[in-house]
Amino acid sequence: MKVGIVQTQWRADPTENVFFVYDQVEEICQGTALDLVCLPEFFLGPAWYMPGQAGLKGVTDTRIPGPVTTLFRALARKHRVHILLGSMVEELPDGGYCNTAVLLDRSGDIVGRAHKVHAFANEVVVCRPGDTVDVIDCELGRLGIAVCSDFWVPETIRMLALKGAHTVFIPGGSLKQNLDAMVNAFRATAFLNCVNLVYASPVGEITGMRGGRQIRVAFAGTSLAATPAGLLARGAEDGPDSLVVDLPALDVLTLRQRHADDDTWQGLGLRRPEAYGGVLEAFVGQGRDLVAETRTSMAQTTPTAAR
Amino acid sequence: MRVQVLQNQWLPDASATLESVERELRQAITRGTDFVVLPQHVLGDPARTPPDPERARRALEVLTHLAREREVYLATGSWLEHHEGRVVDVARVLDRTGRVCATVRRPHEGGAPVTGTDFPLLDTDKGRVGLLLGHDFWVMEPSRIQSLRGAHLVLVSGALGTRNRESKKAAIWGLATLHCVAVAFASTVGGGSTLALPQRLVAQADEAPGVLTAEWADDTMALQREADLSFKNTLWFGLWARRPELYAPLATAPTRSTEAA
Repeated sequence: MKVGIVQTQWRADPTENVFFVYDQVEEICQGTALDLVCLPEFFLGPAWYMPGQAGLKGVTDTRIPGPVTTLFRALARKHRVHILLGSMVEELPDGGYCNTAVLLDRSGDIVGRAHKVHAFANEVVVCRPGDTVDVIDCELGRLGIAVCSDFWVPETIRMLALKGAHTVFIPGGSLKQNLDAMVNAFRATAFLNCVNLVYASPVGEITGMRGGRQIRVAFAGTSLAATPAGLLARGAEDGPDSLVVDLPALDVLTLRQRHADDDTWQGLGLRRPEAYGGVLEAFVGQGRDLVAETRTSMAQTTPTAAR
Repeated sequence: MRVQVLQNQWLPDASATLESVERELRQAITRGTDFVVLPQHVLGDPARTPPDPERARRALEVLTHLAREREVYLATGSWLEHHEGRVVDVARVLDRTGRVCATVRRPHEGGAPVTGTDFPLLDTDKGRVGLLLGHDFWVMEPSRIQSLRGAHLVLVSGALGTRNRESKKAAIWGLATLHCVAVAFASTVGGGSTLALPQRLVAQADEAPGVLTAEWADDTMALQREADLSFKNTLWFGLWARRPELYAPLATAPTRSTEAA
């Protein structure tokens, strides 16, 4: 499977941003027969519920299907390539919102979608979380999608690997403060779950109030691809980038079979699920109502957003 | 909090190995050390050192004396013993008075990797700590469960081995990051003993024998795990944002279809 990773850079003008991303996809498809192009979380620009971004409400959120999917469906058809529309703030028919990734096939049809399951920051108030962690069976095999912070709850990738996903796509956004740990954690996750990982992140900055404090969040690119054997590619930290990698599914499926030459299978093959009831327990140190606290801080800083 | 891990070399004879371990620890354990971790099969290659009750008694005696004398929690590493008619690999933790406060026994199946179903936690004067032996570490769930149940430090009597060495070294720190827990991983001759905090690798050995030492403030992990809604710190998120009601597949035996996949 030949995969292109498009690392976007947020433009101030959301319309300009969409066509910038569109052109990046066009460019990476030129001259290379790709099977799939992966875009980052919020490739349309910052979510309106991020600090300081309230003015984007109704601008960077979208219906699915809607104008954005229509635009990229045509592009998928044109290049005969799958496109993972990293994630978008999906406006639901009842007025609610989800953080949603959409997979288009070579014909431009929607063949899979994933709603972020583990809400991050203001999403705990604003977005409806997904309730399933499922694999997508498609022409490219069994794929998984984990939306950004879903990666940081390791149960997500574990379940996808156990359900047979050989490659997991993670549209995300890298935070500068965790960068080294993040890169290593991706590599470790690929090995421990015997799975390929593809991660796409934007570059860009937002500023605004959060919890009564003026903050600046800088997204640090560093899109990457990892196999159980290590990192294959790593994108720039400070600007847009494009990566192309080969990820043979067969390699992962072979590694998962017990054999003496390689012990990568052990992370999945030595499990004793009957002893893992503890993963169904909550973290014992969890003693605060973060939803209530987030609701309060959002009401203080972005009055319209918290309703 | 000061944590030390021993990376020792197997000598041709298990008694000589024990003497070497004792000598090394006596030199290296510094005043104020809280935890010391020894590797799996600390006394020698399990293929060449069959169970010997006298040797096991002597090893435990030496390490008990050391724990008491230096007032440290000491994860003894492991060696083979007979238990209920089977050969088992046994790891223990001794408290600061030399009392056994945690034990793990894993069947020794001729060198074939095995994992267990018990993942002990011990409450120490430095907080809750987990003990893992051998392959239990390379399967993610045991350390995850210990972390979820409040362990802020996982002591691993392990072995890195030579296969996939670089991936395994990355995985030690990776598990510390993903579970938001400190990891003290001791390994024998293959090297790679590691001390890791979630946000950084504190110390890592190459193949040479020796003792790694690391120190961090007692409240480091408590602060790391505190929910920070300014999101300046984010590594707590993987413990707090969980949705356990969705994780049943992790504690369920695989079906034919998932096995086939």
